[in-house]
Amino acid sequence: MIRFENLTYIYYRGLPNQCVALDNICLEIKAGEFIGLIGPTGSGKSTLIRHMNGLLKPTVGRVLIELKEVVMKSTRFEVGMVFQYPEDQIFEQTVFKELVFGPRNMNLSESEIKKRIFEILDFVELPSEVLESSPFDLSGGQKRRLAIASVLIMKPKVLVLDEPTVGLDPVGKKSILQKIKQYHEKEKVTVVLASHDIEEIAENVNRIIVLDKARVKMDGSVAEVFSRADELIKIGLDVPKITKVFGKLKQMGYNTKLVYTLAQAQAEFARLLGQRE
Amino acid sequence: MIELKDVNFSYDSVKPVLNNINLQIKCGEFVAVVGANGSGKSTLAKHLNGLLVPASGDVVVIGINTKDATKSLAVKQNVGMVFQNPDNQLVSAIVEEDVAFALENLQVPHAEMKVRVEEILEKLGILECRYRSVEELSGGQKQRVAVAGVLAMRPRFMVLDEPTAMLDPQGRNDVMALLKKLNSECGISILLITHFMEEAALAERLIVLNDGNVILEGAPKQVFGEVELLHKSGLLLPQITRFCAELKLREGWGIVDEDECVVELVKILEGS
Ligand SMILES: Nc1ncnc2c1ncn2[C@@H]1O[C@H](COP(=O)(O)OP(=O)(O)OP(=O)(O)O)[C@@H](O)[C@H]1O
Ligand SMILES: Nc1ncnc2c1ncn2[C@@H]1O[C@H](COP(=O)(O)OP(=O)(O)OP(=O)(O)O)[C@@H](O)[C@H]1O
Ligand SMILES: [Mg+2]
Ligand SMILES: [Mg+2]
Repeated sequence: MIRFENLTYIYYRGLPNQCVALDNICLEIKAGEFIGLIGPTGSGKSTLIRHMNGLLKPTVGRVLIELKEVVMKSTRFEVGMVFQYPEDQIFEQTVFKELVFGPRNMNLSESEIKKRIFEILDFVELPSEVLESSPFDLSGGQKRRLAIASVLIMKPKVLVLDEPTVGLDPVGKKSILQKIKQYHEKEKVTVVLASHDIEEIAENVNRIIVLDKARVKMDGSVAEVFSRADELIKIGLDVPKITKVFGKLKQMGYNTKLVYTLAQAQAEFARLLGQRE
Repeated sequence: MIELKDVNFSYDSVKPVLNNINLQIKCGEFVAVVGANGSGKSTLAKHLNGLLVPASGDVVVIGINTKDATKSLAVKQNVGMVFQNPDNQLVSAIVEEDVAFALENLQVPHAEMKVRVEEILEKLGILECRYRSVEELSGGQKQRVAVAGVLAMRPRFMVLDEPTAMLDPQGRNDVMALLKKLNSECGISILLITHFMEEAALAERLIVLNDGNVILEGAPKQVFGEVELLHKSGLLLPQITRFCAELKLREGWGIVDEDECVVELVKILEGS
């Protein structure tokens, strides 16, 4: 369980450029949940995320993981974190070194590490030829895959992902997220996924937390949050296009439920057609 | 016009990254480039303003060969570039100065510069960040600053490498609307690299790269019909396009807009 108790975070507190990035956040995330964290640009998502592994220390309040208070740089192995910019977490000279860094620090055996390297390359769909390349010679999307791999290779119990699919090609994006979801289901890990891609949020998460201007604006199931489309659009967010399509059908008088994913849309449309006959 | 003639390129002279690329980007065109990770999109983009030069073949920008080092400034002034990672682009510490920097180089008069900078920051929703340090911005705020710099310059050609990747939905719409407007009202040519097929669908012409080769080129609606080839190139059609296509609608591949989709669905439901 992750608990945020009255968390406030202020950058440059007391200085003229002070910025209140989180304002009295109270949240509880249960073990095994898959959370979607959404919010307009600058709403505080990355700041919240950086509190989960002690990269930032609360100005006020505290953050607890399994009832233990997160202190600076304490929970690096339990909490696997993929940063918003892959460049911020990649620092070794070769892809191989980058991948073995975490596992070696965890004192895993070399044979276990080797096994995991091949599993993880497969997971993020990078060819083994890249192992000897410099991470800095990779394309943007390849760097992103490496950043995801270097975290997942440690098999963390809590996975915190800050816009992890930015820059992935559409096929890679879909399949890597599917695999993360499978990992979540199989290992019962907790996942927090910050994203601006509402379709991927709708397809994958069980609960959505909406941040706006440093505060929690909404917190609920996919259906609960996406049924408030007007409010979301007003703060710069959106709902999936397919949701809007069925919303319009409903407005026109068709007896349809709202849908959030492609699969739901297909089932609902088939039902509508059946009803007509 | 920007013309690429038989362009080949490799970073290590072993593994080819661009293979015999022949392309033209005409004045006033809006072109989108899509393709899998590592297919060569950013490498191609960097050839357009002379940041990279071909190993063989030529890139000619309004009559200037990018191999001519004496004219590299002219090439850079005509072809504005937004890099994939904003950190490679932002030069000044302060937001406002960063956006103004590009204009100073173009010797835009001070008074006009001030107006243009304010205007673009306002349109991109970051006017309130103007005096802040670039370093302390959120991901999306930083990306907006990077885009603002080039939009304010209004070069003849704009090359944008995934400029909306970290933006919220509103920001993405704002940037796309601004690009459309600069293209249609000011005749600025745009080459947009993107992984969002909804954005690619707004271009006049779509270019699909696969492993350093141009494998498809044409109007988006036409290219979208090549589902399998696209899938092999790491691409998926927009969600509602897939939905319509699977219903076997006649024009399924071309539907990217929700209103069009509603019209088609109603037709089916009403049995007409
Ligand atoms: N290092 C920093 N120093 C000062 N202010 C910062 C710093 N990082 C972020 N901020 C400010 O804190 C606020 C919240 O930023 P944060 O990065 O948490 O937003 P976000 O929701 O992740 O946005 P995005 O979607 O753009 O990534 C913003 O106003 C931002 O400018
Ligand atoms: N500086 C470099 N040195 C060596 N190889 C490089 C360098 N930059 C890119 N490459 C390689 O060139 C190929 C094309 O890279 P490029 O960055 O052009 O791809 P891209 O289509 O932009 O991909 P993405 O969608 O991931 O951004 C990749 O295989 C990449 O690993
Ligand atoms: Mg962020
Ligand atoms: Mg790229």
